[in-house]
Order: sequence, then C-alpha cells, then structure tokens
Amino acid sequence: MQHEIDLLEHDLERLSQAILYQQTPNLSRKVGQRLVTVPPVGGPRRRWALVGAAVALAVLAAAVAVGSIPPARDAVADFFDRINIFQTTESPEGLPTAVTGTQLTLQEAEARLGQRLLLPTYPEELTPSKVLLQDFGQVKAAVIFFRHPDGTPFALFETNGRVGKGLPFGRTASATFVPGLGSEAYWLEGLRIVEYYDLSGRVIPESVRTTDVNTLVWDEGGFVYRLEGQLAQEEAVRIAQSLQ
Amino acid sequence: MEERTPLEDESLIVKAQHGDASAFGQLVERYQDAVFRGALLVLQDASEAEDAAQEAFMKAYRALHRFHGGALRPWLVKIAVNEALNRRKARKRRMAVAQRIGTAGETLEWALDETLIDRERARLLRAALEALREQERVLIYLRYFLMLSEKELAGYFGCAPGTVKSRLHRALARLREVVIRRYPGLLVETG
Repeated sequence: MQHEIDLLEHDLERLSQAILYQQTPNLSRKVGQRLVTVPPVGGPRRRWALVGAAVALAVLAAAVAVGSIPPARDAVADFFDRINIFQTTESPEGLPTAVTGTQLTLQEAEARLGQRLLLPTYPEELTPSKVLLQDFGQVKAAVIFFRHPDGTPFALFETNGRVGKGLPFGRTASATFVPGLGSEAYWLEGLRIVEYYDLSGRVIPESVRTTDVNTLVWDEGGFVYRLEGQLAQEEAVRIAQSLQ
Repeated sequence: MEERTPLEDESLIVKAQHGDASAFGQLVERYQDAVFRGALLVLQDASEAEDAAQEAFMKAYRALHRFHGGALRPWLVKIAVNEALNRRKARKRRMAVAQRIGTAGETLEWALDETLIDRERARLLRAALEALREQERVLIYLRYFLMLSEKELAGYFGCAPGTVKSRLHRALARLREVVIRRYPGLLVETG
C-alpha cells in the first residue's frame, strides 16, 4: 500500500510541476483601485460591520420564511454536492422513455468508459443480460441489465465521472434520503425526468428521458450510480451495497 | 525562487493595519500568485478565480486587524480557497438555470509540460482528484500544488503538524482507493 501511495505522491508532484499556469492577473492594481473606496481597516468599524451582518441575516431569514426566495422553495435538494434533485413544472409529455445506447460486451464497455465497471455480488450468480454504452461525448455511461431471481428486471448505470446529476421530478414523484449508502443516496419513486449534465454543467439534450421506475441513486467515491427497477427499496440497497 | 522574511511581511502588515493601502498593495503583489492559483484549482475557471482572488484580498484587508502574526501566505490562501469553495457551491446551484439557457461556463483544460507527465496520465490523476471529497482534494492541492509546508498547513487548519501529516496520509489513502477502483492504470510505474 505504501508503495502505491508513494507512486501517487510522485505523480502529484510531477503533475504539479507540469501545470503551466496562466499568468496571474495584476491583482495588486485591481485591489488597489477597490481599496480607494474602502475606509481604513481598524477596530471602530467592527461593531457596525457585525450589526450589518446581523441585519442581512435577519432579512435573509425573513425572505426565506415568506418564500420570496424561489430557489429555497423550489429546489428540493440542490444544496447536495453531486446529486441534484429538483421539483419541476416541466411536462414529461413527448420525452423518450427508453434507455438507449450501443450494445457492447462488458469488456468493450469498460474499455470505452476507461474504467473498471462494478458488478453486484448479491443476489448470487447474477449475470448481465445486456450491456449498453451511452456515449454523450465527454460523458459516458454503461447501463448493465440484470434479471433478479424473482424475475424483476433492473438496470445499473455507471458513469465515467461526476455526472448524471440532474434528476428533476414532478409533483407526483418523491425522493427519500437513504442513510448508510455511499456519501449520499436517494430513493426515487413516481414519474420523473432524468437528464445527464456535461462537465461544465449543461444538460445533454440526447440524455433526457422520463421514467416512473423505482430508482436508487447514490454517490460513491465521487461517482454517481443508478439502480433502476421495480424492486423494493431494501433489496435495491442490498444490491447496491454488494457492488465490487 | 524569492525568499521573504517574516519581518518584511510583518512591517507591511502593521502599516496596512494602520490604513496604508500601498503597503497592503505590496503584500497583494507578493502573494497574488498563490492566492490566484488556490482559487483557480478549486474553481477551474480563470475569470471566476480572478474575481474570487480579488474578493479574498478585499476580505483580508478588512480582516487584517484580526491577523495576529504567523505566516501570511496560508492565511491569505485560506481566505481565497474558502471564497472559491463558496463560489463553487453557488455555481452548482446556478447550474440548473444556466444549463437551461446555455450559459454555463467551460471547464478549464490544464496546459501541461508534457515532458514531465504524460497527458493521459495527468487526465486520469485529475479525474481521480475530482472524485475525492472536497476537504481531501483541497488538502492535496494545498500541499502538492501550492507547496504549502506542513507547518503552514498546521497554521491553515489550526491544528498540530502531526495532525496535518495524518490527514494528508488519509487523503492519499483515499486517492489510492479511488485509483484502484477506477484508474488502476495509474499504479503502473512509468519513467
């Protein structure tokens, strides 16, 4: 283990030396210009600064209380780090429902994705029935289809990075926090719009679809996974926890 | 590399604390690289990093009366990194709107000296860093990219140097976990 850490440490040092930072902007001039308008630093201002901050907080609290700050009212969970869940009034009508992609073998999907795919070790002897690769340029996802021993089909989505974060859902859907799985996890039910985002945060139009299938979505090691299938929540969590 | 003695900083700080803006300007000039790069590493966007760095210096100027000695660089970098982290969180909140109107910014591509590290290896390492928890990633940026010493990091986090050492070890162990899971090719030694 120590040898591997040393190797990574060495790589970090090499990467750090290799970065050709762009020239730092002339901040001293810009800050200097702004300082002209700022009174000298010192003790007497502090009390007023604190009063100002308190007033600002009170105004903010009042605004939130009366619902005049829409994001606090409408965004159900956008304050979470990687998985964003929003309520939306957007109609899912006309949006595709099928999960599409190029059919590949597991090994081919791994190669295209550039990373090892994790597979469930529970229930035992579960084998993928089909593997699709969704290729949205920078963003790719492998979709691995399985059939549970009780006959329920389900699909595991694995992405190539911090993507797959957009999960808007309508008034009839629900999202429940699931403790103890990855760094954050949610159980989603009801009709929802699913969309992937690119690395700069823009929605990828070709990825947009709707689903009403029960979904467990979680973030582990910085990667977002989805398990879609009409499974019970406990069973989905158990499968998710068995990924290796 | 230029060396700075704490005394030089100290005299400029005292002058700035008494309202001497030009003394503070000299401190800005001295530390603007570290402050800008700290913000840039977190935000991955040069224009946002510039705004964050400017704002960090303004906050530092207003808070200078609370600076009671020690190294100035980690103190300034901390203000800049916190400012950048706040902006990054705000950006995530804005993204839902920005993606709908197509105004979200591009992610910064790092320009690299490829004689030092292979581009693909750098890309994978960066992806692995992005997969870490925020505090682990920031710690690695501070130590390996901004070259803050363990003593400076102890000042930054307000803990003992030994604690910095163990936090750093944990962050590297987590990086190793991510690499083993997702980018095992990084553990193949290269020249």
